[in-house]
Amino acid sequence: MSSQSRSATMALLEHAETISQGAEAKIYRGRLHPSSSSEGPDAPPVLFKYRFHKQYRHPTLDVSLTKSRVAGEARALIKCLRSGVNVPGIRMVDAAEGVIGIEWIEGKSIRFLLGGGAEDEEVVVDDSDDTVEEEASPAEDPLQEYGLTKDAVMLMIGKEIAKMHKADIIHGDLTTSNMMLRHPSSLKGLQLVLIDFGLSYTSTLVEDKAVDLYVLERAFASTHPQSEPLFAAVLTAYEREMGKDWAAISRRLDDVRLRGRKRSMVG
Amino acid sequence: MPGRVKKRSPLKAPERPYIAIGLEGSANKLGVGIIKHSPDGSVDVLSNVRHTYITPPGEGFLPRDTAQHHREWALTIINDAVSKAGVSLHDVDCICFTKGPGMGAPLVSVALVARTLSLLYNKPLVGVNHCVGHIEMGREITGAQNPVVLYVSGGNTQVIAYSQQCYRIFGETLDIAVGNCLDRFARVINLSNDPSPGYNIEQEAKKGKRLLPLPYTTKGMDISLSGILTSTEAYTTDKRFRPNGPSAEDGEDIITPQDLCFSLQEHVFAMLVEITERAMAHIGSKEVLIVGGVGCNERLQEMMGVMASERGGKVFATDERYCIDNGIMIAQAGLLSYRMGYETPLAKSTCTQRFRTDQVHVAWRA
Amino acid sequence: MTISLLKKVPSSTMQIPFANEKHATIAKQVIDVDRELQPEVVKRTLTVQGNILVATFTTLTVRLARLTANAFLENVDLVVRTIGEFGEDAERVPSSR
Repeated sequence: MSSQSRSATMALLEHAETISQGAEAKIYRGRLHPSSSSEGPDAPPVLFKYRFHKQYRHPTLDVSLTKSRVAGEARALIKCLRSGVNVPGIRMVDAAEGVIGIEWIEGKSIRFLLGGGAEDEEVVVDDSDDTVEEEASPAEDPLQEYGLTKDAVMLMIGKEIAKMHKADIIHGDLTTSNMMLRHPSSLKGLQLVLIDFGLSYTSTLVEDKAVDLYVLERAFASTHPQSEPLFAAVLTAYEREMGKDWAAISRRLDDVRLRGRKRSMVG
Repeated sequence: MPGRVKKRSPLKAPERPYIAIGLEGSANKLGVGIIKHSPDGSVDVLSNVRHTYITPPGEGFLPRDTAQHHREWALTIINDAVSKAGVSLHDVDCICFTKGPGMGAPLVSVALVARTLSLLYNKPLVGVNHCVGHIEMGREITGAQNPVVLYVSGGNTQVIAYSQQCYRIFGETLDIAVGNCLDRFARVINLSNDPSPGYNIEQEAKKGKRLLPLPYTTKGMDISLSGILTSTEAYTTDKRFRPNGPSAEDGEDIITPQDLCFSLQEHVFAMLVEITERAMAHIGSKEVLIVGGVGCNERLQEMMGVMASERGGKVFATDERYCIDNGIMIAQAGLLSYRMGYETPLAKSTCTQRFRTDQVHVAWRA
Repeated sequence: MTISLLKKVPSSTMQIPFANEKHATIAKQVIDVDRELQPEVVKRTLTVQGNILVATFTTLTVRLARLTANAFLENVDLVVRTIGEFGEDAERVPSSR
């Protein structure tokens, strides 16, 4: 891609505010046409995910990896959207620069809503950030605002994952941080949305789907020990949505649990 | 970290000096080391002797021949370690040996010697997990407190972090180990096994100029290496490949063995650094410790260092005395568990080829 | 049953003399820890009679008898050499602890 595109994409990031910095990417909140007057101040915000250069990697390798990963993430999102899985819509992709722009979801992460505390990644909070996560006082259930019980949320999670797996997409990093509830007052209304497809891939294998579920189960156990019994509801809804494919996945999930593999060690 | 309660170590300071001998022979290195833990908390390596079974170029080491090597050298190396340490076997508190994982026949050979010494001198045996040995020695030598550990050797590739008296495996290879991958490629291009195939790959890689495309296969915190080995091998049958370097009439578009070593290292190490970083981000650690034979590789250390410093952290690595399999690490891990009251009864002193890092109860840490 | 099968094949016995009963016993104890790799077709019995280690093998085939005996003798050799190297030193000073 030309140097012009570089400056265009980078200009978008310059006008955006940094939300957080992870191991592989920086997250920004900005707009697609920051300087355009045709776009009013209430044009919907966009989330930019910038896969920055990793200095330790050979530059040639770094460029080609970044490119293929951004493209891969975009492809997974498109496949999800086509299959009716609730994921953020795509707003722009610049694979060469390592930037993907997606729909900004108004809402909260499931991790936060279940009282799982702060996110792992260090969060750079800007004072002007109007979506700053207000601390929920312990007495008050943040889910109240969404009019949902924890059980109902579990069912939504199970259903969404099943829809994704039916499309043969493996998320690769299912945690409660990578799911959000879209606020009831937003345009599309209340929805459970799966996010961060940075580690996703396509697979028809029962094993990969079972491991995907197992990873989430372990994440639940470590992040929300008090909510762990609720996880059964995730599988109930998953089973309902999967139909006849559930039996094989269920058997494999038991195997994976027995194997007690890795990732049994979050936190 | 604020809010995190610092737990007291369950390991009490020793009331007298403790001495342990460690015997290691899970692969082609036979190692014997003697360690001392003093009441003031200091740890002294009294001796650390090793003898490596080196095969001709193009050949790997087979279990039977490796066991034969260990049987031949065991007594010499033990005597050497004892005399260098200036102690008598009467002075040791326990005899530590590698229980696994590793190659069956070589492990058993060393265990036989350990048992015999245990009965002769009436000293308790302590069976040690080889991987835990690497981790404990790495922690002791570098002073890393609670690092994410990258354990990379001929038989293992794991990203490990400590939690609740267990070294948990966050990520690992889904097929072959990284050392195995490098060693096998060294054999394909007929590099010498002296001092080790991995060392020679590293030297060749320094002369490589061209980065060739190879598969890059990380899957979450796991990696897969068999595909990259196959692809690298495939380049040796490419028309552009020059096993003996470029000739006078060659243009730019050629591939040398050095280029392949370079490309293989760049890809494989980038994958290792990536999954290590992912684990560090996951648990919020800023320290990383590299252990195992491949951990000697300076390019890997360099790449890991760049990553760690970008995260505001630090990389810890040891030199070949401790990185490469050795006896002292077995003595160190064994003595730690012995001081917690652990002994291996004779009847249970068998070896096991598969012995996962997370199966060990790490009683000596909080 | 494996046992009845094994009874049909001849067993072999080996006698290995040691310097004393203690060393013969040590050798027995050390080697006894590891089970035979194929316990269903190789039966091994180790006893000590005075200063002699007596090993009896009952195997399914002659080939197995040879392999088993070889492996056993290799182990005995290693234990004998270890005792030879350290036996005297171990006796010299009584264990202090």
